[in-house]
Amino acid sequence: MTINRRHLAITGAAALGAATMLRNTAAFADDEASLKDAVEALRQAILTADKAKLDALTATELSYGHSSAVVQDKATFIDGVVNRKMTVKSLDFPDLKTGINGTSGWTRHRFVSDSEQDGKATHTDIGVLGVWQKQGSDWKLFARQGYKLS
Amino acid sequence: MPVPPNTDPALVRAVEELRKAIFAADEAQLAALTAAELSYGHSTGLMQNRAEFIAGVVNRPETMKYLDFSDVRASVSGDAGVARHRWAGDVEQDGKITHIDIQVLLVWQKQGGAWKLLTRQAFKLS
Repeated sequence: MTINRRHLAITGAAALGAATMLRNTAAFADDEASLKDAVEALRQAILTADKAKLDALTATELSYGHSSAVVQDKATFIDGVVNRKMTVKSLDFPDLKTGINGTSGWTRHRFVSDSEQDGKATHTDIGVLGVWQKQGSDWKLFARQGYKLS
Repeated sequence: MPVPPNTDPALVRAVEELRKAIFAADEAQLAALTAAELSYGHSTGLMQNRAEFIAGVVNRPETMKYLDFSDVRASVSGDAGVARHRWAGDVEQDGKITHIDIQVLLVWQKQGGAWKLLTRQAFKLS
């Protein structure tokens, strides 16, 4: 078989295609891991009421909806966490699922928490949809909705 | 609480197109308006992917009498858009009419110049 320029070009393109595919798969796995890290960072920031972290993890355009139907913008959300009257004893995000499409990602998980206010303990167990946007190398929470599980 | 302005007329139009497609159970339009990776959450906690969502609308056992989306608010950041609206409608099944009044969060992604629904979550008013 004579190897001509065309063969070389096809072989080269196939190799390049395979390399791109591998790179994309690796990038996707990285994205998924970093999105899960962002969810965990947000859980910790809410639990510890860490203003700087909450600010770093959310987009300027944040639309944060509670299961009570209250919708907050970024400043109101951060203020609400930092100045909350109750003591959050525990906060877990079990059943985490993620999906990524380019620079957008969604996360779904339960929001399970025990809190206390004026000696009264409250147990919360709701569902949460989070939508994240990749800005540079960071995932930022862009929209969030809590909802009651029935 | 400041209400986000309707910053993107095209996104508000996409929300209206979605309302019409759900009401008319228009399979082709539902496919055109949704991303392949759609995650569609009902107020009951039921979660559907794109195929399940479309099949659920097209094969619904009840008759939708009317469907209104009110208080539509849409904001856009780059190729991502967030819309919130109230969903009100009547459905009829076996002669029984049920009134539905819930809130919805829609997240859209711009793909090739068109808004596609990426995730949706409905929740009950309390």
